[in-house]
Amino acid sequence: MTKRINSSSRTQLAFTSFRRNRVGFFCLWVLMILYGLAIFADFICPYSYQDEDRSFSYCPPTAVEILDQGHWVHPFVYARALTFDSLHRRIYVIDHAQKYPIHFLKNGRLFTVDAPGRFYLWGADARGRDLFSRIWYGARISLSIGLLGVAISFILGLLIGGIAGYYGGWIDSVLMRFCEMFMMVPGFYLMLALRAAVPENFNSVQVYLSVVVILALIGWASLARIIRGMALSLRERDYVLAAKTLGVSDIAIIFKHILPQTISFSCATLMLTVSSYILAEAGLSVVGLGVQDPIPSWGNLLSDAMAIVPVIFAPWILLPGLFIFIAVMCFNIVGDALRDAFDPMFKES
Amino acid sequence: MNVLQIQNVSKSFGDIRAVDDVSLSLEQGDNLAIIGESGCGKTTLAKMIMGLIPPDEGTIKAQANSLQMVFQDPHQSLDPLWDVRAILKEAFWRQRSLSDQQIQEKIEQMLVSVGLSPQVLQRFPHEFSGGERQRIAIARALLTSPKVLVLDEAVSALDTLVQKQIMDLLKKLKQDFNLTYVFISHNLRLVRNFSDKIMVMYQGKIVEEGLAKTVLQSPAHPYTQQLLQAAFYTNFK
Amino acid sequence: MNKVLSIENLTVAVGSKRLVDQVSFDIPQGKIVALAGGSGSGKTTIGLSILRLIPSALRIKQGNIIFEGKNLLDLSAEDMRQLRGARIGMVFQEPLSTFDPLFTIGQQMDEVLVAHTRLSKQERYKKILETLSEVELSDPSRAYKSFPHQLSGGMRQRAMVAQAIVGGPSLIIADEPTSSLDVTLQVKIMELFVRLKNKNMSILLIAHDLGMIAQVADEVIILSQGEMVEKGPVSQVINQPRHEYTKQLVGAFQ
Repeated sequence: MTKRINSSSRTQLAFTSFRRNRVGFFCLWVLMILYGLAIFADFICPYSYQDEDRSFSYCPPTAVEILDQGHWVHPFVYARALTFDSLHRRIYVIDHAQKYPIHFLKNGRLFTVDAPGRFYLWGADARGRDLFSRIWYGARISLSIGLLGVAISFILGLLIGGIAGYYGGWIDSVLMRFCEMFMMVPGFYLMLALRAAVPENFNSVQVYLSVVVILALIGWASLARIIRGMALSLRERDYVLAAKTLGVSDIAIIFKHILPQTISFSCATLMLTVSSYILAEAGLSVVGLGVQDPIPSWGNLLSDAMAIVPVIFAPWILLPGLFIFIAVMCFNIVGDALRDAFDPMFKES
Repeated sequence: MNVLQIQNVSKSFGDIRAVDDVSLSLEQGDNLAIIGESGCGKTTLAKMIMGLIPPDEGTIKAQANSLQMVFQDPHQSLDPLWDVRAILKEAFWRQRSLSDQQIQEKIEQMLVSVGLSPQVLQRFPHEFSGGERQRIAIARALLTSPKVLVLDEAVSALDTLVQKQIMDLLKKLKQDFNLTYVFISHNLRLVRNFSDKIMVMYQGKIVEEGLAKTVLQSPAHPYTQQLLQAAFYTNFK
Repeated sequence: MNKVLSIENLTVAVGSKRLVDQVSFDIPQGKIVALAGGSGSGKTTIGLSILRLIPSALRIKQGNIIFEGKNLLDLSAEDMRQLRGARIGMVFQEPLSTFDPLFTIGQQMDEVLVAHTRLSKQERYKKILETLSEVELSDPSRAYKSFPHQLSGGMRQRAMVAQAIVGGPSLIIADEPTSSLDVTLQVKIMELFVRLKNKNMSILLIAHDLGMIAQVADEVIILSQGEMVEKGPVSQVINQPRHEYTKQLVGAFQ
């Protein structure tokens, strides 16, 4: 036999190509780290997300000390006490007499300090809750909502787009008009409208799931249109005609011949959709319509930062915004890299 | 025994009459060549024979599921995401009663018949040359045990040497499996020493038909004469 | 008879695999020289090497390509750009992917003249119409205004030849120029090539159909797996083939 590359499918070839895109691959690792830290939040965070201590309101990040009078010692933090200066601004005074050693791997947590000492790696919020802990517990909400929403959008988009594109005719017309109804309304407003329909007495889990469904509903239509376009051209391929002559049923053709071809190109769109869902959830939460306090999400953590006074005096409360930025950027870059990897025309340098 | 009967079939796309009042009758064991250039309607006719599109007028009669087709472009007729085993197994879609074991045996026997080794089963279409892919396509078609094979420009996309190999293979398979061929092409040269009967199409109509020997030696219609000259390079330099 | 193109010991490889191995041949002025072989024979790579358009993964390991007295492998990228279109024209297999679908035929041919000549707008228009009628497009001014998809396959291919010759090159490289056409159109393109040859243009014809080559070319070089297996005047190679592979190729079209 002549030309033999290796026995791998096009998907495997595409992933090899993706790995060669260093930036994309790096961003994928960053995302995996973010998700890993979110999953293990119980372990890496010193406090639960509700653990508050009002005497430490807006406490700045606590420095970790490793030198004591010139000698290397086990890491510890100094105690802090709250006072107010002449202009009634909060000042935390360090008490060098009182040391709290940092305990590693105690009580199932990576690092903690004994009460009444408090350890704020990235500072405290208004109620003295540890921002570091709340960011990683919040990651669970913000990062998972995007994925779940995309999963539902994807299934909806595949089904509706695949059926519309394959059959064409009036089925296509009806389904696409249905799609357009969703696409007509600007995403954020549609989201608010749907959110208003959610009953008031829902608990936090129910609110979470409602937000997932809402996100899925704002994004599925554009995905469906893309898949429908691909299905329209794919159904003319000779291997689809061959399957028809073999008597293969329409449903089997759609699921086994047409949709698999669309998935590889959809991957890129999916990544980009996840990033837009993360932003959408953050947008909902900032205005207080996402998951409610005390459950943190990056979005509702940022709602604390909507007043100028805290931002000036406690700038660390903007950190959740940095993580939103990182997550969205990484999903976008990975999405672009995936699209390039699957693009048959793309020539590697 | 009559395996295909086409009577006064026509098909239009908008204003264009792609197929205009075509009739033909095929007996078992025939080797019919339909010759014509792009736009003459031969591919539309092939799709109607296969039941992929319905004729506007006329009737097509054949035993159900007795016809199979081999397509022109070996790069497009095999799903690039499927391995060869899956591609060939699809041929058994209508034969649900067979066990996996039986299917595997039939596939392996067929691979031998078309000149491929069983190792191709794990591989993917892009790993094969054009000629090899056509062998796979032919194997897929034959696994349904058809009576008639419609070959739509099945060798036109291949190199001349490979064309000859595939034509030789088709001759052998016709004998081995007692097949009837409808060989569609724009090149008369290919069907010399291959087909028994020739039908020439031009702008949707049959302009000449007859025994291959006759048509090739003394073509009656001017268009056939033109095709003949072009195919055998007899009119320039 | 002076030589328009002279290839000496050309070797092109990707990694350690040689796609073209020590190939040498000349193209005299006013002659059609054919490179014949199946896929993988290296014939397309040779054509691309002359134009210095080989993919970046391939390397020219050895050899000289002398065109009109200059070694093309020594020229800069800018000089090569000046050469393509003006001195060497290219005709490829699939005109649909070579022509830009967004511009008319006339606009694309105009580009060639603008890049390589100093003719005025009227002079360019006149030259393009002349060239379009030379390739036997029945309505040159209509062809000028047409988009590629508005022309039939045969007309598009003729338009591609027109684009290749409008700059007045001394050499045309045609890679499988008729493979996507029906037989009667193939004949027309071949007749066109013969007419061009009689006007003293040289043509390098790259094809796998030895039958077509036999009717048109003056000399043929048979390639197999990157190596020259036979070379000579067409009638000699076809009627008295010496190499096994040549015999197979000849047998395939008899």
